[in-house]
Amino acid sequence: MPIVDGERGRAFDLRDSEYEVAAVAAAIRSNSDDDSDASDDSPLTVRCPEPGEIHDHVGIVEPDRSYPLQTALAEVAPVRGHESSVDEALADVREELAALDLPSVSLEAKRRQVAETDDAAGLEEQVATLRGELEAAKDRGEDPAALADARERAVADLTERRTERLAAEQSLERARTDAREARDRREERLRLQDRERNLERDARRELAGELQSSFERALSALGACGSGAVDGASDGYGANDSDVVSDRYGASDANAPASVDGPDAIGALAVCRIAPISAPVVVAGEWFASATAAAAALDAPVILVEA
Amino acid sequence: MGAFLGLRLREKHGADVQLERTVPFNEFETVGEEVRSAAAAYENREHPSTPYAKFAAGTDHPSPDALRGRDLTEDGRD
Repeated sequence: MPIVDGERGRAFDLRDSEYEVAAVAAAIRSNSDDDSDASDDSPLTVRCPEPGEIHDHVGIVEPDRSYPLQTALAEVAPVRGHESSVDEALADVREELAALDLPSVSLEAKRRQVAETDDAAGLEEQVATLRGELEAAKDRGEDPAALADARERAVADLTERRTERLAAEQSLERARTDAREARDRREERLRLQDRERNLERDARRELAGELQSSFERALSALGACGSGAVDGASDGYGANDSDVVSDRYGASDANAPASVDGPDAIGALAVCRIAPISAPVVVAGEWFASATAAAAALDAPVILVEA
Repeated sequence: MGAFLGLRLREKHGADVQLERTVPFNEFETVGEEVRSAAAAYENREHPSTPYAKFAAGTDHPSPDALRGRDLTEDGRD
């Protein structure tokens, strides 16, 4: 089992080995906690710190791949002490969302209950019949006691039925009100989620904008120190030529070329250069002459692999 | 609020507007068991594209014709 030991160096060149980008990337992701586990399914072991979100976005650099540069820059910015003006609003919205209680209301059982507490038409009829019989018995001069008892029981039953029915109806009515409220809250949640997404986008744009000049400096530095493709790329990414940059990225806002994702491996390298990255950046392609040069240029541990 | 909006429409369009109040629907009071179970079964059908007429054919579920024009009163109960 070959081991790339991040504790014993920062620059590794695997270009002459059989390991491909995917295998090395997988080894970096699976290295962190459990060596025995990783060695089972991975042909290579990399000892290094656990890769973070920035590494997830730009840590595997291949020539023909697009990168979420704005997202990555927006994640680098807070680490470098930048804040966005919407941070507080975003925290508020998230708090509101977390506090939103969404009860699930089922009315079916209540509707069934109302239907089952019969409206006692039969009992009413019985009471009326008994009343008639009672009066007839009195008229005939018979002892009405038995009939009177029966009538009283029927009246009591009827009263009980009506009470039950009323209770069931009221319970259903309350449940309907609750259900209405629950629907309103779901609507509120949609509204808040929408706002959260908008704020996140604003924050991303703003934070990425904060690093705009750092990003451009990194691009031109990479153009100056690199070799091969990086030389060529420096034409398109000249730091002071924002028109060219935005043309290259198709950005609508010349101030934020990083806001557009494109075939921009060189952009990913620039983000790596300005980001604090502790897990090794995997670089495929002829960007750098040596792993040492790459580690120096990216200010991060680097593993070079064959493209 | 609903009444206000309805009355505005009636004011504007007169007899062209028919206003009706709705009441909450309780299927256990107004609909027979066969209709309830047919609806439940159809909503859980295997292929979403099966039309109800085809779904009901050859089963105990009422056909679309049998469902049409039924009274939704308490008498509708089994």
